[in-house]
Order: sequence, then structure tokens, then C-alpha cells
Amino acid sequence: MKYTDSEDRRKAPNGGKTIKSRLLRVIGSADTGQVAALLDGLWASGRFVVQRAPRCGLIMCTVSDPFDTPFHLGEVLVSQAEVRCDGQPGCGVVCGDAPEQALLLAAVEAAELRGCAEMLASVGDAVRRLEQTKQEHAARLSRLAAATRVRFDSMKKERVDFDSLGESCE
Amino acid sequence: MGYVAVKGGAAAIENAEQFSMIRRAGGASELLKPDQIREQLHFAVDRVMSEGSLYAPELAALAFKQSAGDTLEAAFILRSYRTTLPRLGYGAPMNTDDMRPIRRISAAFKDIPGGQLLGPTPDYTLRLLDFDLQDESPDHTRRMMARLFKDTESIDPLPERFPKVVDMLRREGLLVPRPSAGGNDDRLVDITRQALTFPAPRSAQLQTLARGETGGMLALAYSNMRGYGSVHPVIGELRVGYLPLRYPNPVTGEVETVGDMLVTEAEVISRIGETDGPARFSLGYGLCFGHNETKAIAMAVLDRAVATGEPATPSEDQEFVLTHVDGIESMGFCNHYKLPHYVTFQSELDRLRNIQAGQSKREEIRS
Repeated sequence: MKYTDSEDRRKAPNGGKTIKSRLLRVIGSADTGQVAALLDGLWASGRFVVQRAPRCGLIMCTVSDPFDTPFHLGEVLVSQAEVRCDGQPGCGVVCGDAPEQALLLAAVEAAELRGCAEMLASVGDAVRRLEQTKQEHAARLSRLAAATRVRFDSMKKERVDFDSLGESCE
Repeated sequence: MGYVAVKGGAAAIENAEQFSMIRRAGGASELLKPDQIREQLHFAVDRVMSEGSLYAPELAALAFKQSAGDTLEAAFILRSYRTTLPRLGYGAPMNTDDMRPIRRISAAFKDIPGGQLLGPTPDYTLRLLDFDLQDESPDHTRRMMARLFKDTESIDPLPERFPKVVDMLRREGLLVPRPSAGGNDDRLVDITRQALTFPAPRSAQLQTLARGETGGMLALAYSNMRGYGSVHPVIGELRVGYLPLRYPNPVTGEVETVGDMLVTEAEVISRIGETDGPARFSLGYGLCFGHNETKAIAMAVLDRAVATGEPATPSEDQEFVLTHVDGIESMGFCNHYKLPHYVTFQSELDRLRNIQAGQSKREEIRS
């Protein structure tokens, strides 16, 4: 189902991205203790109710081949949880057996949809730190991969027209 | 001869299980932790996930430990575990254009847009035993990593996406529009829910191959490449990278990226396709969980091989290929012969004795 009325309330200053969507991108790098501490902070407000305890399940991953024929590649283990904030439901789904991560995502979503972004200050701080760490890590790995780029020395240059890919190579 | 019901062996089975555990863990060395397996034996973990058809690196590492390094058993354990979990739903259809590659090579063109990235691979090094690993020091590894990170500090990070090499061939009209396997059956079927029937739709074919056993697929693809078939592949592009998993949020309906999966993709260009129209190259496609280049290439070769109009060899026969590549099925069938076949063998024995007795009698009469 599509939500409409709460959409405006979720608009965040950070490029229009919600804290939930930013958290989702980095939560894999958070350690268990960090996630537990953030959850404890939210639970302390007394405004959250766990609607559905975290459970593991499977998502079938669907991919298209180069001929645009979709097929199922296989299943992925995920954790899912549902939390209500003052009655507003929120859902967290994340890859792996990560019950606390799923709970945190659900709680953050519920709070944002309820329009209680002020409750999420500590989560926002943690997200910023995780984003920075993840960005540094990703850039380091990307540079490692870039260092394996092959530079060919050849007697004669190969001419291939790659214009159709938006780039010409010589 | 009648059937005789027997039971027993429970104590022996329990003791055999304990003995097996002692063989794995009863030595003098430190016990392996699943984390160590996941990080340091990642090719094995990837293989188990791919053949078990479940992307769960932690569980695959645990299964590999439990099976003492037997990838077939580990995939079996993982696939069994999968049956205990609910299916929450289907991910939003993805295109591998969204893959964030860490390795990307082409054997068709030297200079490809974005360049050839060797990535993490031992492909171009000699297969010599490295005795230094016998006593590998964590400090030495850390120092080496620090130096490597420092040396690469000035290099620009890679872009998030790269154009696909075969797209260029397609736009030039040099590729067949689609393979002929499964006719024009574009149905999206799920072979974990629907029995495989033949000719199988292309989606069923790719799903079956994606969870196939590496060794079995390699043997069939190798037979084809060696001459028992007609595929002479050129690797248009081979990629290893991270693919986002997108899933619609049950509350908001918004499609979210809930994680990344490491996958390997191979696109092989084969000889001129069998079409009624202009001459074109044909394409075989391989995609699997984890970093497993041999499997992805073998899958692409088989995908192309079964598209042959009139199959002349086993590897060109869709039914033959798809019914023999599953590791758990084939391993299970092979190993079921270890189970008691006392009744069937007694029956065979009786028959043989009767035949021999009859032959002796006839010989006596003749003499």
C-alpha cells in the first residue's frame, strides 16, 4: 500500500532522505552494542510498542537477464520487525539475521511517519558517524579496485567505436 | 522371499555422529569460528550460498564448519534450513546494470569504457605453494594492508556503475534479440514452488542453473567447449560486484534497498546465432551468488548450449542439463545407494542363484 498523508512529514533536510533510508544504507556497519544502545534510548520514551517481534524470513531475489527476461536468482535471508510509535506502524527489513537492526529500523520509520523526528536526534548522530565510516571504507576499497585497472602498452592502438555506450575509446 | 521388518542401529548412529564430531573438532588445533571461515574461506562460503540457493554468509560459514568442509553437504544443510523459514515476499526486479563492480574484465575487447579491472583475483599469479602462510602473522598482514591503502590514496575511486560491453554489440545489431531456449516462453516461474516441466521457460532454466553445482555444471560445459557441442565462448564481460536487494516496505509500499549481495555475472558471446534474419552473435548468460567465476562462465556456456535448435549432445539438451546440475539432488541420489538395499539385493541374489541352478541342470541333462 502507498502512503500519502505522511509523506510530507517524513521529508528530511538531508537531500530529502529520511533518517530511516539513510540508516538502512549504513546499519550493516553498526555493531550490536551501538544498535542496542540506540534502541534503549528510543524505548525509554515509552511511546513505542513492538507490534511484531523480529523474525527471520526469505526474500526471493528477482533479476533480469540481458534480454530483459526476469528470473529468480535465489533467496536472501532477511530480518523483519514491526513497531508502533503512538499507534503509527513502522516496518524494518534488513539483510541477514539481525533482529535488533530490524527493530531499530522499524522504530525509526514509525517515529518519522508519526512526525516525531525530534526523538531521533541520537539516531541521526549515529547515522552521520556511520555514513562517514562507511564512506571512508567504501572509498578505500574502491581505490584498491581502481589500482587493479589495466593499462595496456601496445604497438598499435585498438580502435573500437563505443559511441553507442556514450563513450569513445581509442 | 517375504519382507522382514527390522529396526535398530540408533545407538550406533549416535556414536557415529559423535565420532564424526571428534574427527572435525577433536584435534590439537584451535577450533574454527564461523567468522574466520566467512572472512578467510570466502570462496567456499560463496559456493555454499550459491548451491544452497540462499544468500546468508554467516549461516553458510556455519554449515561449512558443520560439514567439515564438504561443500555439497554444507549446501544441503543450508537448503534444509531454508525450508524452515517463511517466504516474506519477492524482491523488486533488478537489473545488473546497478551492480557496483570490484572486478570487471572482457576477453572480447582490450579497451572497454571504464577499463578492465582485475579486482581481487589470483588468476594471474603462479600456482605455487606459499609456505609463508604456514605461519602468517596478523601484524605483517596489517602492515601490508596499511601500506597498500597508503599507496592507493591518490587514486580516484571507481564510479558506481559501468556501461556493459554487450550493450554495444546489441545496439549495433550484432546480437541475437533473445535466445531460443524455452521458445518464447517469458513466464516468470519459481522452481521452488512449481515443478520443472520441459521445455522449461527461460526463467526456470536460469533459476535452475543459478543454484546448480559448480563441478557438475563445469563438467557439462567443458564437454561442450571441448567439442561435444558447438559453443566456443568469448567472454564479453565478466563482473564480480555488489547488487542491491530491493524490497517493497510492507507499511509504506516504498521500494527500499535492504542490503547488498556479492554476485558474479558472465556474458559469453558465441558463434553466429541460428536466426532466420541477418547473421548475429548469440549470447549466453550466467549469474550466481558470491564470487564464483567458474560457475558463472559454465552457466553462461550451458545457457547458450541449450539454445541450440537441434540438440546433438547431452550439454545441448535442456532437459538433460537442467535435471542433472543440482548438487543436492545428484549427491543425494548417489549417496542413497549407501542406505540398506538388503531386500532388493536379496531378490537379485535369489534370481541369480535360480538362473545358475537352472543352467547346471541343463548342463547335466546335456551331458
